[in-house]
Amino acid sequence: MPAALDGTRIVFAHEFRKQIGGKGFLIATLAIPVILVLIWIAIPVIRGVLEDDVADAGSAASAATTDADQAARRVPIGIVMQARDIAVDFSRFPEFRVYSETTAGLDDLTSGEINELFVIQPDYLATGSVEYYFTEEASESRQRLRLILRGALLGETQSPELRQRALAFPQLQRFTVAEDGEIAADSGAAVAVSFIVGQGFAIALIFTLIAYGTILLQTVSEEKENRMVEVLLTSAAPLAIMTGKVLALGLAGLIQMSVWIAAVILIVPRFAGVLPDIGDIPIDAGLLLLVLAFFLAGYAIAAALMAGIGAATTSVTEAGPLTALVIIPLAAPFYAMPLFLTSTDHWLTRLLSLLPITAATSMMLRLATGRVAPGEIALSLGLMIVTAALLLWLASRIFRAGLLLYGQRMSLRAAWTALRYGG
Amino acid sequence: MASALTVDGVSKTFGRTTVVDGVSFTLEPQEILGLVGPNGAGKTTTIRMALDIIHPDAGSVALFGSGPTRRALQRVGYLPEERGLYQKAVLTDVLRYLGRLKGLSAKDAQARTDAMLQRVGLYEHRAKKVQALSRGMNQLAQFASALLHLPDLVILDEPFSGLDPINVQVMKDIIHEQQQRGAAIIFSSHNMEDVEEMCERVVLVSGGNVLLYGALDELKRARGIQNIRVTAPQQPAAMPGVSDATIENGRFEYLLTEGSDPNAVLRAFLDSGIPVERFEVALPSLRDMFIEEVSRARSA
Repeated sequence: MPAALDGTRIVFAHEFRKQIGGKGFLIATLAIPVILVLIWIAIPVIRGVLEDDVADAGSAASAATTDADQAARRVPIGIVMQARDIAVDFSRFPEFRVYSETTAGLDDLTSGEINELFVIQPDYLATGSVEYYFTEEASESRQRLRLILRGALLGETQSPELRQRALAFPQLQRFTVAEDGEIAADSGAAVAVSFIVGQGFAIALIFTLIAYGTILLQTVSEEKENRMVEVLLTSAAPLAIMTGKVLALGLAGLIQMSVWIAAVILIVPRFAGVLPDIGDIPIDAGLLLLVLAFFLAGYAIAAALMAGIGAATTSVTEAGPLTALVIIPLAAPFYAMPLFLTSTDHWLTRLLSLLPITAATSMMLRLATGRVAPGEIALSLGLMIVTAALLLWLASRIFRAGLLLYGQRMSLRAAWTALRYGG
Repeated sequence: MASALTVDGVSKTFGRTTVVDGVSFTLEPQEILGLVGPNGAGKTTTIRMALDIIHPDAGSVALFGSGPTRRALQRVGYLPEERGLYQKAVLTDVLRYLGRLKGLSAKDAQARTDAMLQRVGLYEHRAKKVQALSRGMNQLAQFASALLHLPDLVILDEPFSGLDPINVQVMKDIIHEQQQRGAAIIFSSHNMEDVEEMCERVVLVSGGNVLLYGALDELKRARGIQNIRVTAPQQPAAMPGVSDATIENGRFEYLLTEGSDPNAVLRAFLDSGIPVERFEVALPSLRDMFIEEVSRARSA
């Protein structure tokens, strides 16, 4: 392995171990899942207490109402069972109204007899396909249907294929039905999810950068403060040292963020009925990849800048306040949020998407709210990657030249002089 | 065999100040070279150029016969004057990491770390955080880290500063072990007695220029015999060829005029019937040469 790559690998392993081996990382990483689990456990308890209070108040009549009666009083859920190879009798469930033909169900949907109609496709066992027509959607209906189908499939056989189908989520094709009976494919949820994905990643980028960019800055600055730089520079190339650090802290940040996102996706739907089930979320894999690419490129630029600041300053205390120089421009597109929501192709949003320091956040917001031309995406991403590489190279030069700044206060002039004479 | 280090006419200017001006010297394997000079002489800048940390404006540096490549730098152990370790890390982890960066495998890095910590007497402190160690222990640990990978060139910048005599002796022993092993060593210090004890050759740098360079004995002899030390109950009334005399603890020290014969001093004692307990023809010390050369250079 070339010496430079070997140096990067060793620095990466050291920094990554140091980062994830600390108690702080473990506590911070597990905090979100633990809090969510506690909320999940607490909600039924709180709900139970509240219901007991109602009962104590003397609502005996309403308390005596059975689940079946409650279900029957609700607006029924329409169902058309076209999959003949599944033995399930929906008439046993009072909340469902069974139709033999889709058209009959759609007629009732238009007339307001029902609000939702599920058509379980003939090839359900192979594809999990279900058509979902609605005038007013409710996640509870989808959950109920899923549970019934799961029960039927698991009860029928021990076949691995059937078990797999039973455990998987139905693949919903969503259609809205207007008052005049017009049917249209629904993209509302997809748009909402895109928005959440874009916004979520943009916020996560800012957060990750504040957390891990600051740690990166501290580790670089500490090496100067500890006077380790000189020994390190005779042991590995400055670029290898910087690259190893940026990659290690980036990976640690990604792992932490992934755990948090997974916890939110897996746990929140269990107690928050307002969110759709995970299986219902129409995730656009292309969008997710693009947003992730901008996230990583944005992190690389900001991390290189943070490393540069750490290398140019002589102590952690001196470096700390300078982090704002990176975080403020990175978060700047949020100040133009109304513009991103109303006009994603405005000249300002396009300009912000091409400036490397604001591009990551801007592009994530634009991708979340509308379509962006592929050429523009490629140009923005390309500029970011080139800028990140240049900044990392510059940070490594400053790291080496920073030796000449011992004992001096940070100033642009001092940094420039050090860079010039550092060779 | 190629020289461990060849510094050939290197110069470095920061702004309008020339810090190093055409410095040249070589260092052979199994040799200890003293790099001495007053504060701000350009020693550290020269070392940094030798290690490719900063680039010279003129001249060249060769490590083991070629340019200071990453591969060549892996064969160097360096204890800088401005030194420190990761304060919050565990001692053995820090040394292992530095060993890995110097190209040791994980297993070798651990084995060498244990061996070096034992050699400098810090093995029982290996699991402690660096910040829990005393200043002297820190220094020993850094010294150990510079030697972990059995380097062929060792550069030690003020290695003994702040150490007690016992630890200084431990370090001196280890330096000689490294020399026996075949390593070439640059020893930079302000303590001239240490340099005289440790080094065969010296480079004296001041104002970025080399003032003296060569084998210590030859440099001393080249300056001629100037001092005579005599231990006797009294001194003769007249002393031939003596320009200055001092008395210290019953010992007479004479500074001879140029070209004077030391034996004439001994003869003067004997002719006067004064018994001589000890007669010593002394070569000038490195300290004397240092002060004389640097003073001359500054007044020029």
